[in-house]
Amino acid sequence: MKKLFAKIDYIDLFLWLIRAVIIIIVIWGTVATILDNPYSRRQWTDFVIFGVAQGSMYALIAIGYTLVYGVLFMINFAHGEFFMSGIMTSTVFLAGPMAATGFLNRHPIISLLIIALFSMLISIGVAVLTERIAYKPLRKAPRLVPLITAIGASLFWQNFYRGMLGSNVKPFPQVDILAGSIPLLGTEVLKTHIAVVLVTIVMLIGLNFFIMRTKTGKSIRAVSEDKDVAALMGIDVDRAISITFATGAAMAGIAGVLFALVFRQVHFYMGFTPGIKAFTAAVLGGIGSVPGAALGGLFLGLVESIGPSLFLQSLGIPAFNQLKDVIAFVMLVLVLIFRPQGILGEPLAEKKA
Amino acid sequence: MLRRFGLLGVLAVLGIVVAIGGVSFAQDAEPIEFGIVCELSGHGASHGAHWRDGILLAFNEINNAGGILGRPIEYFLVDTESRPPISIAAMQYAVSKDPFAVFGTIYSSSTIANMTTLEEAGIIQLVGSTSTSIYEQGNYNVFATSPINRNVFPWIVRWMATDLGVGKVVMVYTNDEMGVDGRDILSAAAEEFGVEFEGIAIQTGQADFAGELARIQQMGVDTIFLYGHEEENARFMIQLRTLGIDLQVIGYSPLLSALALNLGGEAMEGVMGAATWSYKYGPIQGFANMFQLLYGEVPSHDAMKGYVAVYTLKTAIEAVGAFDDEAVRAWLHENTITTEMEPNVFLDTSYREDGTVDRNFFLVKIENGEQIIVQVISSQ
Repeated sequence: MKKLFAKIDYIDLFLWLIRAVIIIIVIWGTVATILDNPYSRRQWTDFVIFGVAQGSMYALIAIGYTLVYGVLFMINFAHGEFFMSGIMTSTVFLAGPMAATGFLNRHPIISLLIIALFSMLISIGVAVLTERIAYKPLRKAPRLVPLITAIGASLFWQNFYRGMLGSNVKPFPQVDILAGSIPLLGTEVLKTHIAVVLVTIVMLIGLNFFIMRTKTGKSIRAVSEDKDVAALMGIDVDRAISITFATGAAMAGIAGVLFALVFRQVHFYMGFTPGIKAFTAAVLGGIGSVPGAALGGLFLGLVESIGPSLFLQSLGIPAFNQLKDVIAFVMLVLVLIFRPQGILGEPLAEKKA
Repeated sequence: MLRRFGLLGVLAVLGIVVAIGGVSFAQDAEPIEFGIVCELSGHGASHGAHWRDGILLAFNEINNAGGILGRPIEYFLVDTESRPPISIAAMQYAVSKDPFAVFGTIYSSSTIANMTTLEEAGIIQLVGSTSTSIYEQGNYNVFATSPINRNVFPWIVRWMATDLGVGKVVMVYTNDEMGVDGRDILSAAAEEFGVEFEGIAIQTGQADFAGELARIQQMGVDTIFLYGHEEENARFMIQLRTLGIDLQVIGYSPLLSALALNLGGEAMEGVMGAATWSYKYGPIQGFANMFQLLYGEVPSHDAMKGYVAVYTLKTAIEAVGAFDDEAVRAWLHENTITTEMEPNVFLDTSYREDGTVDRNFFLVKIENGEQIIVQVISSQ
């Protein structure tokens, strides 16, 4: 008997217990909700569409985390501020004046393209500046140093924007062609949500082409494999790293525009929560994996949107909608317990660990 | 942008006043110092900015007119980051500067946390918070700057039940000190007036309300009472209207303020409720115009609270005739400040023993993006 107890790994036992409890709650809650049938088919479809739209934005932001991790093995906690900087600047200097003069709704497509391009450029500028000034001098430093620096950079950009553009929340104007909904999949889908999903698909296809088919993309992949060997092959590692930051920031810049179109508000603090969520999505999908970041974002968005109503409502939990962050992070824990490398991630090689 | 230049403008004017006009102050009067401790970053930054700007505008006007009892005002600013624990440290710093009074904080959860620090130091505190529990602590030192939830919500419920015929209401409230206090008072009043009550909590800074709106559609209510901060209120209204949910929306000052109207745009049309301030009220319009000229924005209720807080304190100090904090506290508790005594308090105001305000408020409706005052409600 003593030998039997000695063989038991109590930590493993505890982890299995957690897995079992979470799975039981999820199954129990789901079955109870299905039997209870509290929502109409239309409402469930709405949850899914909201989740996909929200997840698309997370996916675009998550790509920045995963790309940077892929080449530098650092978590860039200032990435949420790259997301914020582009759309904040665009709202104050472009979208607001365009709406005030009526240009925005007279030429909505041109206006949105200009806003998106400007937002991407500003995000890229902020990212490259941060990389060059704050991160580049720390390439050889222990990994904790750039991590702390990233937190500092995040606070710097927040306060920079607060100082420059004010601490008040700014309204993002209504774009008339995106107002209302259209019938799709047997329900009414908001035009903004369709725009979010379509733009995300286009951006992901473009990113895939850039990473897989262009010379610059190949250089990024080579640097992510091994910086020293890439340098020996004649690749400009510093340039590849800067382009990696710029690519992630461009995605974040576009995500900022989509966020503003859906929620119609921007402020200096807006990068914090989506940034944390996108980081979670990147880890869920498998940090370092671009398809993983996209999948992780989508998964997180869907779980946040559907999870509280599906898992918790019929369990009699009060204010269950408030627990969507809890559900999202429990899912993260669950995925990481069963698959520590994330959904599409590969086990870390010795050099990356 | 305009707002930033507006702030610079105020600071420049203050600088000129101190440098030129203030020479006479400097020769024969020692400045009196006040602290402004508020939410200048984090989720509450836009509230803190208006509160600060309203106070600075009042300081500027008072200094231009010769100060308080001939003494020019000086001030210091401290940021609470919208976090209660930081607000305690901010107040401890304020105490170390030994001001005559402190203006702030706005978030009720912060005020609850930091009010004891100022009470122990004997420094008068005027706050923008409206949660009832603040004024139930027996703290003789803290003063509200507008009627609080407890004074207004029962009237709103009675009006909903009798004038609007509301049978079932769902209250959407932020899960913080302000929101929970509002929920407790509104649910008790709903029971008293025979209105069926449901509550849904939301988070400060929450962006997506799809789940909450789906639940509301399930509940079979005829009215939503929305009680979040301005930003959440605007986002909630945009999503409600976008989804085409046709329910009557009632609210309180944060739903009806200029900030929420600016952020919510067309989605705010038709919203009604009680507001403790209205920039459309005649005596307030002069201040509102000046504020807009300087800062490029219509003042929110936080700006009006801040502005009036300064004039309230000035009136009390001048009535006492000295910078005697004990006497000023006692005077505020025992007297009514009328608009004849001080026009810049806008409405006749008296303080109860617990530091809450007794004065009129407004029934307001939103039409064409503007507040329309339907009725001035007597506090009696």
